[in-house]
Amino acid sequence: MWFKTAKEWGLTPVDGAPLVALRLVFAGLILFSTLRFIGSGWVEAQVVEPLVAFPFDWFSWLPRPGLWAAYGLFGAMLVGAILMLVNRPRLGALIFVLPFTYVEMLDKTNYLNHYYFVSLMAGLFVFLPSRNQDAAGVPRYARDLPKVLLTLVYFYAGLAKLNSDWVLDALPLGIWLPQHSNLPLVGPALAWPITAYAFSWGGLIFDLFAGFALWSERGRIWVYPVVVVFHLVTWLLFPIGVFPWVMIGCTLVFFGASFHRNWIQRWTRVELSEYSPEPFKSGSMRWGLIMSACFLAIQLIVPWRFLAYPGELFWHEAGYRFSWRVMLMEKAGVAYFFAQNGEGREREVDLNGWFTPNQSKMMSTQPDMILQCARWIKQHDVEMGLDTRAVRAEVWVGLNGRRSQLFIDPFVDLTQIEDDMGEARDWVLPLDSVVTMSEFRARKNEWRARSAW
Amino acid sequence: MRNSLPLFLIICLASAAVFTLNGCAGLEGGDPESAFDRGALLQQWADQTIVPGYSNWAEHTKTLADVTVLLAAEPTADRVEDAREAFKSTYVTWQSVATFDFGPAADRAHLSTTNTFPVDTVGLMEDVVDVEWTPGTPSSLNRIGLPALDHLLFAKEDAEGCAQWLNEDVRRGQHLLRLVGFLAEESMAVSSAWGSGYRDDFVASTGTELGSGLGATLNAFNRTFESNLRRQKLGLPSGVSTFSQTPLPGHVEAPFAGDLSLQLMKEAFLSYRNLYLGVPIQGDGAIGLDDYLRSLGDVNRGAQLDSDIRAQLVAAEEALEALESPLSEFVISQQDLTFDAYAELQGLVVLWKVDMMSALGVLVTYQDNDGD
Repeated sequence: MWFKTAKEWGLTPVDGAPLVALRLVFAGLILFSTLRFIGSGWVEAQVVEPLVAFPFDWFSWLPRPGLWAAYGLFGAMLVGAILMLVNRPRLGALIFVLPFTYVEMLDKTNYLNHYYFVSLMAGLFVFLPSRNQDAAGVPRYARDLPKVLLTLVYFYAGLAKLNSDWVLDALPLGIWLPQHSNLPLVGPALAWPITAYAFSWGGLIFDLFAGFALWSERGRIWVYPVVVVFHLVTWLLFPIGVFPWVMIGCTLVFFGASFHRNWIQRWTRVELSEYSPEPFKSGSMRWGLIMSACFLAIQLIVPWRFLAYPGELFWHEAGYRFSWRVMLMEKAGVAYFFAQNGEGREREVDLNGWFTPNQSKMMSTQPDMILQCARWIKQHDVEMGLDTRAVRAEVWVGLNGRRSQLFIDPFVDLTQIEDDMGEARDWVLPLDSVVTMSEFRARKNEWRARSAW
Repeated sequence: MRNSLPLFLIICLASAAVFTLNGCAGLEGGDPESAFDRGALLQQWADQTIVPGYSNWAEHTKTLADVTVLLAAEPTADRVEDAREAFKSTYVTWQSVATFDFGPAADRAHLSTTNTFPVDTVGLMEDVVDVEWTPGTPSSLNRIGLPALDHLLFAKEDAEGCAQWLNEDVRRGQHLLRLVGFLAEESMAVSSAWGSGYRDDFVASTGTELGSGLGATLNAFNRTFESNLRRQKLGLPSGVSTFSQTPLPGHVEAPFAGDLSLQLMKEAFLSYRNLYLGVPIQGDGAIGLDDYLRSLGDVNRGAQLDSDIRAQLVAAEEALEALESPLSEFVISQQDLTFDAYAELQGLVVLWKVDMMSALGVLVTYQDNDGD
């Protein structure tokens, strides 16, 4: 019964102009973003030149592209974006999303939530009807799916801010905002503690409610400008890349069809079909509805997977990514690795020159990357003819203004740890177990003796 | 919805105004003087440490070049002694600028062309007889700079023997000249780049991104402290990176000059300490990173962190004082003490690279970042 109602509701024809408009805006954004990436020299710096990569778990088999292949991938992204602009959205989205996601999977170092968002959105455009002629009418679910996704992004980003660091201590903003005290006019105010609280609470409330408020026609007029200002402020204050523009652009989809028909007619040469609703009866639309429901269900569940892991999420980061957690942590670390040979002798591994600064930063604070690094060290040592059997690490990390403390068990063979999904990272020391440098040095030998190392 | 766009623009502007007004309204409640003046810190660094440091360094290389001209023209024991003295004080001077490996220095790869060690003695002797020698190629960095001079000037222990060794083959003296000439040119180039233009850019970029004065300085500060001082000058020679923990006396800095290594390490340590505490090379400025941390207001990551760093500086200094010259022998005879010093330096790495950097929120990359 409810299914039938949902089906009727979802398949009701509506004006497709907002979806077509979103497609145009999104295509423009990814075109700009890809050009910016190439123009910044990041194809070389992030994709080609690093000597070592930290691929995502299920994608370590992906071959790393050389210079030409990398430019081929980015060229394909440009072609995809252009095809989307010139009314070939499905083909274009497909040609864009595959190389884009491929590049993202190559190295966790470069993971950004908005890259994930772009992958999802481009993936949706492979299926959604968004050609100019689809303006004549699309099923309601197709028009509203991007809106639901956007709402979910905001809402989950808001939920992620409901933690004591953010709410009670105004961190990390209390660290980041004072850096801008050199700005004219507003600069000094950014150094005040009260400003960090205002921004933290404001951001929290905004994230929790903006997505919902955009649905109402009356609310939109008031909320959209806030969306614009909010994202512009983040763009001005943080090195957050194109994310603000992606959100400012994509949230336009919430506006009504006449608004979009208006600007498209006035400012572009795109010719939209007139709205002429006809009932959708075809099986493919029904499948689309079901697939959309599955997609949303997955999106709803994935960010909650952190509940399966005990301990502080921000610390062990199991289940952290792909969950719309942005601007939540100031986390810095330094990692020293020690290799042990067959005779039980140990040496400090000299990693100088092997990683990019960003790889070092990310690796030294993210447990799964520390494991990858340890495995790589063992493999590399063996290739070099060294008798390395086990690798341990002494890692020091500070999170959100806390002082540095020992991050992982310093006497466990990291090459033997399986970091399977759902498995607790018990080799990461609890956040409240604060072991300082001096404490560690005092008790190091005792701990070593007690361990199997 | 037809006329909605102008309305949006108006509301956008209005919201922006409200944001700004909110900021200003808070003026009465806060203490604007608590904001640390990064511009003043950068100015002091530039005008009282970096620029005078580099010009001092360039002068020393120039003096070294002058003395070497005399030596190459007619090698005598006295002239060898003169060149050695000039060499030693040049090497010591280098330690006070080595950390500023960004901007003009990074553009010219000044750190690696000046002080890549251990020197490849075989390659160096090949260069001596190579008439088409070109300095500074990436593959030959360990055949040039101060380490190469160390090898040639101390090829024989006594000055007399060294003069004779130079007399045996004119090309040896000539190559000394080529090496010193390149070094002097490069240091002059870096020094004058700071004097003309880069200094102003440096002082004016008061943000905390990687390209800012603070970002560039601190990233180089941490990187060179960790990898050049801690690892290269002390760690590798003491044998931390070999399974057998065998000391590698040949890996010390300036191994041929004999008693210089330890002095160089202490000088280098002082330059980091002084930068942190705000002790300039020249002048009376007193702003340091310690003041910056204390200005943060937060006790834990401000004043307390500063006290911890100061305590660790003292501990590291004491551990370095416990080492004896020549370091190349000491790493063998008293390896434990070198390991101790290494551990104390590592303690500083953690405090500076993790605690201080995250307290100041200085960025380490140009890449986009959504806050982890």
